[in-house]
Amino acid sequence: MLNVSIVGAGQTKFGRHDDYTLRELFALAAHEAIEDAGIAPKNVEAAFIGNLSADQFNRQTHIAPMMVDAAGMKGIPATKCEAACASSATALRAAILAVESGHHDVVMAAGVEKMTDLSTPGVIETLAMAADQPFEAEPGITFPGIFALLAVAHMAKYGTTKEQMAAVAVKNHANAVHNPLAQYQKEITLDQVLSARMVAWPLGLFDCSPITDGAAAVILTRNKLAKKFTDAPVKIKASAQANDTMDMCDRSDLTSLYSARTAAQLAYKQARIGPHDIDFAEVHDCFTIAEIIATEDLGFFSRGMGGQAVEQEYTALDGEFAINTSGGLKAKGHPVGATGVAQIIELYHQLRNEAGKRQVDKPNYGLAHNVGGSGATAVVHICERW
Amino acid sequence: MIKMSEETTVKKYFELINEQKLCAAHCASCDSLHLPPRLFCPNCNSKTTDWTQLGGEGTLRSFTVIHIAGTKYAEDVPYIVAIVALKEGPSVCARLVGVDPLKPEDIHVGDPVVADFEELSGSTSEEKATRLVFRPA
Repeated sequence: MLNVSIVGAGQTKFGRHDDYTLRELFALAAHEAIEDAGIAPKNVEAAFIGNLSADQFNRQTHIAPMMVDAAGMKGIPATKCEAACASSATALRAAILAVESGHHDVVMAAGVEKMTDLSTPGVIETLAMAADQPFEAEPGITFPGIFALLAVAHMAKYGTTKEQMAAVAVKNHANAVHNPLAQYQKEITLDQVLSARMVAWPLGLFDCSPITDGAAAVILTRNKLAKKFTDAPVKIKASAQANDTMDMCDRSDLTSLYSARTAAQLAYKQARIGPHDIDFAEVHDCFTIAEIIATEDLGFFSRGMGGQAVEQEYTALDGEFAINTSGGLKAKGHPVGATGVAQIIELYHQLRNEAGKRQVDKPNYGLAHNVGGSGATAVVHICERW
Repeated sequence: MIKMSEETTVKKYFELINEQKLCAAHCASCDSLHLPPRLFCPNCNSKTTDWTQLGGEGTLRSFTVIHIAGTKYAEDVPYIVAIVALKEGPSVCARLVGVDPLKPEDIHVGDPVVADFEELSGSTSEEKATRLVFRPA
């Protein structure tokens, strides 16, 4: 069991930010987190920052010192963590271990991405760099294509339908209406999803998370110190990461992510709870099928039942397992390197009962599931209210 | 099956593809085949010692039709990318040609396919002038 709490959180609005560059997005989120924790920038001892590809999106490497400098934390040890779309969950995990080890008392975990500097084809090409270049990207796979491969396999094995996948998008857009920081605070209909332009069959435009700019940051400390910063810290009960082969073709099962199943099992064991103790979860719905598979991999529903579960509204805001109350990657937005920490921030607000109209009824446990690439990385965190 | 003693590198794999040979890395210690090729066997950690040429027969494990591609393949859309389970065991990711990408409902997981090779026109890279593809069997 871990001994680490979240005592501050900050997030920019997700969407297109024409007036801010990478450093300013980071500085805004970092400052809000520092202020929320009631501390000064100089009190932060180290920072771990998730970012997928500032090198491609913004022609900038070595971003960690640049980011902390922009946020008034010049000189502290700052490290960039990259694990494709799971980058900031690995940053969070590194920050947790830095506190847990006793090396640091106050650590920032953050994520930042500014994707809209590139054209859409450029973004597609950059994201596809998280697949095996000669063996997957060369034949022409794209990121939507990777999840379309999972979707077709899931449909063939379990009879999952396009309507069930579309139901994920409809639900997550409905949740995002209540999230002022979401990219799309707008409901959509099942027909809109089903009739949208095709991206990678069977996934259409509204099956896909958008291209997003944004940053997210949290402040961590050990449980013993947590109450000095806030009346309502949120405990991190488990932090687990598992990896899989880089190549999808090298896996025995294309209907589930071994990495996510393994990380979930490790996390439940660490937290000494099971899937049915979880009150709500933020899962990695980069594409609609990914949420269906996630709810199965996390043990909320049995294998093959995820499609029916969303269709029958078990995962709605007032359902048995509220999934992606924030709007998820689909509607809140997916600034890839910031997503993992943004998921944890939704857990933080829900477990402090401050999520407004999207608040889940008195939750005790929340889970965050962040996936990198086609599932070569998966990270699961479990949080508990104080 | 032809066995060749050569280091099982990515570079050599694509040289063999250029010779229109689909080969997998073979581990002589535990007699297993691996794609993508590896220098070390993921099963027994021995150095994989040779190549085994595959017959090219397989079945579709999954597929998708790419309608929006990156800059490089923007002109190719719509095209099909598939994961094919080869008869000898390993799977590979490659394009599926010879079927209408606008009728994906006519293609099914489990369909038999066979390997073929396409010359890439206008390619400046000598290494990958030939591309592995699959066609319906």
